[in-house]
Amino acid sequence: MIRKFLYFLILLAFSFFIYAVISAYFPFGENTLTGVAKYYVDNGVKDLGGINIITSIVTVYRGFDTLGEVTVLFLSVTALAFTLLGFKVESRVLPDLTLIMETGGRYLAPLIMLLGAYIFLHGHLTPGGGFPGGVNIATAFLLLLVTQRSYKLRKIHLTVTEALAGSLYVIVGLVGLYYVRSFLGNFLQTGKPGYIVSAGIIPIIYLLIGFKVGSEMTAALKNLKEGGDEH
Amino acid sequence: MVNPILIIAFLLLFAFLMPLLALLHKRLPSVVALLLPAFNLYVGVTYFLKMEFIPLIIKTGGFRPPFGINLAIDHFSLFFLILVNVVALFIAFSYLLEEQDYKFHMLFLLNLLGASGIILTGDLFNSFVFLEIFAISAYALAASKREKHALEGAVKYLVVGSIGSSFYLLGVFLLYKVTGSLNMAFIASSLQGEKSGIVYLAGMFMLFGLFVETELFPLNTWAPDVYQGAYNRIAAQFSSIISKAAIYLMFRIVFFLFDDPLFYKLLIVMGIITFVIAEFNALVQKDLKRMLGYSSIGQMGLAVLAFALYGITSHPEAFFTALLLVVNHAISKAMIFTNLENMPEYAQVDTGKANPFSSLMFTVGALSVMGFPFTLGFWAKIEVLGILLRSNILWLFFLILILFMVEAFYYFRVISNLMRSEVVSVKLNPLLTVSLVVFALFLLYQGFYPVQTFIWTNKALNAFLNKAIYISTITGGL
Repeated sequence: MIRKFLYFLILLAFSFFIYAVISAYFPFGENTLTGVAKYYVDNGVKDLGGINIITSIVTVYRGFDTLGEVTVLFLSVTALAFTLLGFKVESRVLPDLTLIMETGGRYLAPLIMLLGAYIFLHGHLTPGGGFPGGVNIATAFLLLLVTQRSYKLRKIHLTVTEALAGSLYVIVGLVGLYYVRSFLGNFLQTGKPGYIVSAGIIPIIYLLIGFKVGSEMTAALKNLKEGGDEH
Repeated sequence: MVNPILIIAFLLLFAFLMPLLALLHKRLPSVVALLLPAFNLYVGVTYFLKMEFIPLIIKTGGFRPPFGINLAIDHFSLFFLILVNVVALFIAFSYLLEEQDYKFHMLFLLNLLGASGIILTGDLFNSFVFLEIFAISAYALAASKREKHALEGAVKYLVVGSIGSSFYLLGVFLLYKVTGSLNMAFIASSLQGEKSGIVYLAGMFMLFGLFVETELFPLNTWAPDVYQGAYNRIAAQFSSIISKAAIYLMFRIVFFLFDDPLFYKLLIVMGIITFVIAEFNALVQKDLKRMLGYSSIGQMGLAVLAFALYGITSHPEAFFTALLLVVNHAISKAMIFTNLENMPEYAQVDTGKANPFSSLMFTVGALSVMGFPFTLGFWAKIEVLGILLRSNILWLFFLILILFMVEAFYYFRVISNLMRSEVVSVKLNPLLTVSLVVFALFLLYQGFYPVQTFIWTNKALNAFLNKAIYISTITGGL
């Protein structure tokens, strides 16, 4: 008890230290952009045709980082499956499902998936994008896994979706390398800002990220429910 | 010549495709895991031989630095790329016949991806992303044996590693806020001259984060358990790929971004403490793999110490020594750990059985780690002592001499047991045998005639010391 209290005190002191340092050097409320951030805000729409600047930064200016982050997610899910391998989870008994839950889940899940797809397809126009859209789709699968008694998700479908979405992302980058001499470079026309078909490769990348994240998160949920599976 | 970004692109592409490859044919993943390090090695060596002295800049996203992310490749990064991929090729080759599960190969490739990415990138946040890839795959690999020590080590590593990564990220954030850029060359050029307190704080955070992977005191408590519990190939990977990529990043950051006596002094103190604690701990270990793990920690401490001596004495030889120590440690420890596969009954320091071939291979590797004459390690270790004598730091000279003796003592204890132990016949894996012999011959040949190693190390050293060219090439526009 006393130890926990001490840890808590140390944590508190450290947080306060970080807060004090940061607020002393970089006072809040001064909204002047400097450095690369200023360039992005000034030239983002002109360069790439996406009216959502954050999206342009995430997928093209710093697209290489995003590819890395997608890999981090992929890796975490793989690592989870890999560590769970051999630990058999006894099949948990679901709580008594009422008719309302079962029927509601069945009708709600497609709508949630549709919302997820909307989010990642409009990533270059509205807030959102591949990551939140993919997570949204995974929540629909979670609903199905929890409320549907006879619902079986086949491992092979997830594996193929994961592998194809991930490798197509790298291939989009390689096509950019071939046509504009730069990995993940924009090789399409930027189009008219604000329209659904615009912003070059950003919608394509977000589509792939959406599928990748959706299948990854679903695979993680499936693994947690059923334990690691061998094959 | 091939674009070096293909190293990262291909590693990623095939890591993503691994499950499908495994469905096509069971053997395919292990072949791919062998071909990719060979490809990386080919790219690395051709660039190392043909590249001019100016660093090569590879843009991504079609924007010039600092607006897009760039890879910045000079002889120093190629030197580490080659070292890491030689070891990776060796590990992949020696396990080609044995490993069936594609997930191992996938994690191996992703780990190599993280290491190569850290080495090639010229962007600070990008290095954090690759550090994450590299650390998460390492957590999973550390836990792969699912035994008590393996799981204990992996959990410790996971906790310490996550804290370390967060600190690294915090440091990157502070530097971004100060300089308005994430590109290493741009940050370096704006940090030249007077530094504010926040820059020192950022540097401390980043170093603290890297202490985990470079196995420096006080963040190395995970290492002995991981080394003891993990599979032999994974222990080899930890001591020869993971810690080497991390030490590259540490050298690059300390010398390029900060280059301040304060950081060098900190590294000297931490290096000495790490070396002392590790060597005395190794002396009292009963378990062979745990002893080798402590010895790895000690070598990393010594390499960091040699690097930091450069900052204090400004002898370029000190840094040269650090590179030699890194090469020697990577090759000899990869050899020792993978060779343990041939010594299945040799878990304890003072008992066990082994066959003559594996005893010989262990001996060659151990002699090189100790720095015995006529091995590559000799040149590395004699240089450390030489620098300390020339710059008149006598107390450190004697301390390190004593620690070298301690090291020799515990290795010779194992070697003498190997000489006296019962001979058993073990079924030797032919590929592992071939690769062990190649490494042993390399260590001995370079011990007699170290010219090649010296030339390559010198080239890397020259690229590293001329950071003005690096900075002006990248910031000067393309």
